[in-house]
Amino acid sequence: MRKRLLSAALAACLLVAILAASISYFRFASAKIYEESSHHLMEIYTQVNGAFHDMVSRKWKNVQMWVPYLSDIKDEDKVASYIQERQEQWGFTDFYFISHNGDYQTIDGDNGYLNLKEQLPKLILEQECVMADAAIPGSSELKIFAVPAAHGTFRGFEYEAVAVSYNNSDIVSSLDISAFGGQSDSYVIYSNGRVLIDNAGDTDRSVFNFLAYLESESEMSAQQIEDLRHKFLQRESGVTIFQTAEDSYYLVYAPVAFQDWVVLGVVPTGVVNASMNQLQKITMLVVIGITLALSAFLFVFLIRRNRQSLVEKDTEILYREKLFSTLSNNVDDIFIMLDADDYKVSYISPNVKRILGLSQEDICAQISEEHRLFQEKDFRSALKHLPEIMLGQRQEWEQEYINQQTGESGWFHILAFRTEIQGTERYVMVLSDRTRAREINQSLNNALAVAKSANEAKSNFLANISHDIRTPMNAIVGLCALLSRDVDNPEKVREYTRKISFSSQHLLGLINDVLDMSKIESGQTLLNITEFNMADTIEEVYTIVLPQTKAKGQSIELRTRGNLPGKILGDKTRVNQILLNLLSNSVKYTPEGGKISLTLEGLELNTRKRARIRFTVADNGYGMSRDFIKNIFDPFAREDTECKKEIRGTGLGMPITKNIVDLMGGTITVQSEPGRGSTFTVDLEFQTADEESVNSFWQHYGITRLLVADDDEDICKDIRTLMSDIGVDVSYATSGAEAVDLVCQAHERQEEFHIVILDWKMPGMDGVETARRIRAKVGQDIPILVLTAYDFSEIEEEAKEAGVDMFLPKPFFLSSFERVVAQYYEGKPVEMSSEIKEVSIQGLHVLAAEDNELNSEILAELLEMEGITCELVPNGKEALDRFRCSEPGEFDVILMDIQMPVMEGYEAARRIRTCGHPDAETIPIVAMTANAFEEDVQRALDAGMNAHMAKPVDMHGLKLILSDLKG
Amino acid sequence: MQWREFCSSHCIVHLQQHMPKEKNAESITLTGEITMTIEECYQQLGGDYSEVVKRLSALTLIKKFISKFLQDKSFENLCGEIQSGNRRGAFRAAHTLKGVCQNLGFGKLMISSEKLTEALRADGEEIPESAAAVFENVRRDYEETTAVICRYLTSELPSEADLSFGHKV
Repeated sequence: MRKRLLSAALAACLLVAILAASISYFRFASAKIYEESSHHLMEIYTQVNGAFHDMVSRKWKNVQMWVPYLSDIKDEDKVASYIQERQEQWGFTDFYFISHNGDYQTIDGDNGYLNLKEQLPKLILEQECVMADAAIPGSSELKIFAVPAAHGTFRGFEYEAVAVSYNNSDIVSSLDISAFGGQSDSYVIYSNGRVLIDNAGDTDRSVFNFLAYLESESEMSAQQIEDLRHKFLQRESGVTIFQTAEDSYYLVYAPVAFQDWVVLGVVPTGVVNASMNQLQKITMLVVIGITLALSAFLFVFLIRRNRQSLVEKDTEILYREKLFSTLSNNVDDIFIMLDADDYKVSYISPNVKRILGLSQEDICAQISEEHRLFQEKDFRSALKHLPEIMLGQRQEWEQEYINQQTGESGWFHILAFRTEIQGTERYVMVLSDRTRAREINQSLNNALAVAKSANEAKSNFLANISHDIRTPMNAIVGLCALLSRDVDNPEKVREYTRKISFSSQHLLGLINDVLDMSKIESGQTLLNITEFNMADTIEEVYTIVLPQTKAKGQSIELRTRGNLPGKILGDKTRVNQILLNLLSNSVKYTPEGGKISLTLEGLELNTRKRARIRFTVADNGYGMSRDFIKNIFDPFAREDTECKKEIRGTGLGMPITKNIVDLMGGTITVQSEPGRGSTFTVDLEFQTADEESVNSFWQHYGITRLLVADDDEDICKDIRTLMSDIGVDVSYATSGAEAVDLVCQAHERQEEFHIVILDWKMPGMDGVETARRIRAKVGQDIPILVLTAYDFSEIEEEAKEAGVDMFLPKPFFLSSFERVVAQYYEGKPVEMSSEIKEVSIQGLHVLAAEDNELNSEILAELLEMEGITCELVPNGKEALDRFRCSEPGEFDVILMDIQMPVMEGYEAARRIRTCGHPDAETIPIVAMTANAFEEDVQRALDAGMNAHMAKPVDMHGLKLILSDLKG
Repeated sequence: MQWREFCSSHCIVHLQQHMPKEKNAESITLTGEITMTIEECYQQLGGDYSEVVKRLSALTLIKKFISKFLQDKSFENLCGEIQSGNRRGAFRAAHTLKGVCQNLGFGKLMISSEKLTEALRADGEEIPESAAAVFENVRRDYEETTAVICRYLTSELPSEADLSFGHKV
């Protein structure tokens, strides 16, 4: 406000100054103009004066010149003609002789009275030249120039002076001034104001007495006029200005040298000042123009600058806004500004929508209403600390929030301070999203906890394992001592040896566990894929576990379901491990007299030769709590309950099992209820090995009808389904009695069963008794097989006496069945022609020569699948060299490609045979070639090769050859 | 050179040249990509996947080997030997190529390389005239084979064989 006043005052001052300046300029200019004009006029009128003076003087002089002549000339006619000549020369109108009283006589003799008035005495008495008006009747106004002359007479007239008369107009014209464009009036007046000569162009203004004229027409005051008259009298010259009704005039007055005449000049001021006025006008205009231009320029400039600064300000503001909104969009901090007293929101950064899921309006509304945002509380809860903050202070705290749109929860770090902005106290809040940080913190804490617990677990394990390992070790040490003491007691030695065996096996088991764990953990375990018989594996496992169950009086049951393949490709040892682990756990954690079952279920048998098998190990033992189940597969985890404290173990069994299952690409699940028991389910997938067509087998032996007797109808049905696939008809009975009946019926129909399969443990009549009865009815011919899940070694003797021919452990495997049947018929253990001696070729180390990289890789891969390691060389020469410097027995077989660079196969074989290496002549060399021509075979044999294998490389073919060679 | 670069450089050329003729040879997904199962791949190669998998047992292995085939030098060697007019060398190279194809079950290429092998078997220093024409067949089949492999490898469906959980070897 003050600034405005100041600038207004300044402007006013400026205006006043300008005004004053202009006024003074104007005045100055006017004064100057007046001065100039005056001078100018003075000069002009001085000239006029001078001219007039000269004119008058000349006129008088002329006349004066003539006067002596006149007196000289006696002849009056001559005088007249002389005067006429003069008249012609000089243009005067008349010549007068003037008497002392003013009468005149012309040369023509005219007489008259010349009213010279006061001039007459001057003329006559004072002998001065005079000029006067004369109004002679009959002529226009004349001016008389009279000159005193010597007394004379002319034609009897006595004269004292002579005069000439001129027309007024002649006289007047001498007062003409070309200056001022004819606008000037000149007068010659007597000092009393009476006009003598009037050169006023303006005939309207005929003035007799100038002073009177002034008095009447002009606005001059009487005093001024009096002053003027005085000046006239004083013979002063000067310039003054007078105003009439129409105009203002310059009045120039200058004394004429004669008498008291004054020359007057009257010029309108406008005319005189014209050019000056014009100059002034133009100057003013120019100045004004320049000033206006300048001010306009300044104005525009100022405006532009204003605008520019405005624009700059705008840009700056815009820029700031942009910056701020960009910031707030990309940054996860929310900025809120509230009034301190009423919490009215003056600013919320737009990113609040993104982070809190509320729009700016929502927040504003929420501050005034009840709403749920901050963890069951309204947004106001975020403001709860605000009143505590004093001006200039700040406070920080953390608060949880829920995003209204996404429902996510997170944590805010709120920083609030109180400050004064533009006169009002406000709160400024900065809400930083610290969810991530908190999460990271949390997970770090978790990781730390996990690490700590793992560490603890490992320490525990170490403690335990040392104890666990020490125990059997101690036992062994002790027993050895005993051995040395009782060395002569065979019984005791046997016992001690047995115990040492157990202990060392147990110890080995523990150590294996630990090694396994570390191996698995370090990721070094590989599966050892071989072809094996599921039945054998189950049998093995069963055999191992059976004594343990017997020791605790537990029963163990084997079941099969579905379509189980006989031969599969997999890691037999590991499968064993899995089953053993599960079973031994069951045994361990089931009290005496409990029940354990192992079930094998064949899930889909994929035509692409993949079989899925489900192993289920169930018991009715102590079970596990839900919490423990969660951690059961963690290393070193063992449930720490009263009943389990006594149970020994590394706590590694389960994790190892799980690892193996994972390695095999299977799944393991556990269900358990404390006090009720546990069930472990393992699903594994294997590739099935080639099943040679078994139809021929059964046809070979002429077996088409079977009888199965088992109280479990499922088993009967399973066997029926299995056998029907291969064309063998199966009838079944669910009791021994029924079985006997069926046999008798078949016998009567002459459709004997070829083989009778009996379950051992059946209610009512058991298998052995049934066999006895059958034998009694139909004789010894029919082969009877007892199928049982139990250890039949006990009843073997008895069963054989009853007429049982074969024994087969459950679960029922076709291949085992075949084997047993074949054995029965052949009378000796038979190796099925399709059976491959897996043991024999596994673990072979082979030297292979093959030049093509791809082929050699394939070969190596295929060999590895069979458990055969090989060393590759790219040609015959290198094969030879390599073989020559090999250890005896290092290589079991040499596989030789024929077409190779440097040295081809036959040549290489020849050289190898003769190289002198200990194995040179005995090591089998197999030619690998696509050619199967007789001649090639012969060539190979000639080169010393043992066998010939056709390409493409076929593992079965190779296995055949190799086993041939080995066997 | 990385097989991928090799493959893709070849693929670009081949995809332009060899568009599928039979619509059921390849399935086109909704996105317009051309996908191929391993069975289709082998069908186009003139081989039988089921036979190959009998021998090589795992899809992963087979894939590994057929992609390695792209780097195999047998065909390159063969071209070189043919160009330098070395019959013995050409015979060996053709023979090797045939062997590889047998191993991997590339039917078409195997047949033509076998023919070439026989054409080159006869004794002599020079390469017989008849072999040149056969060689062209081999070249054509080789290019087609690599093209099919490229196509298969860059966009493939897992075969049913693979859909059951992995058999780790």
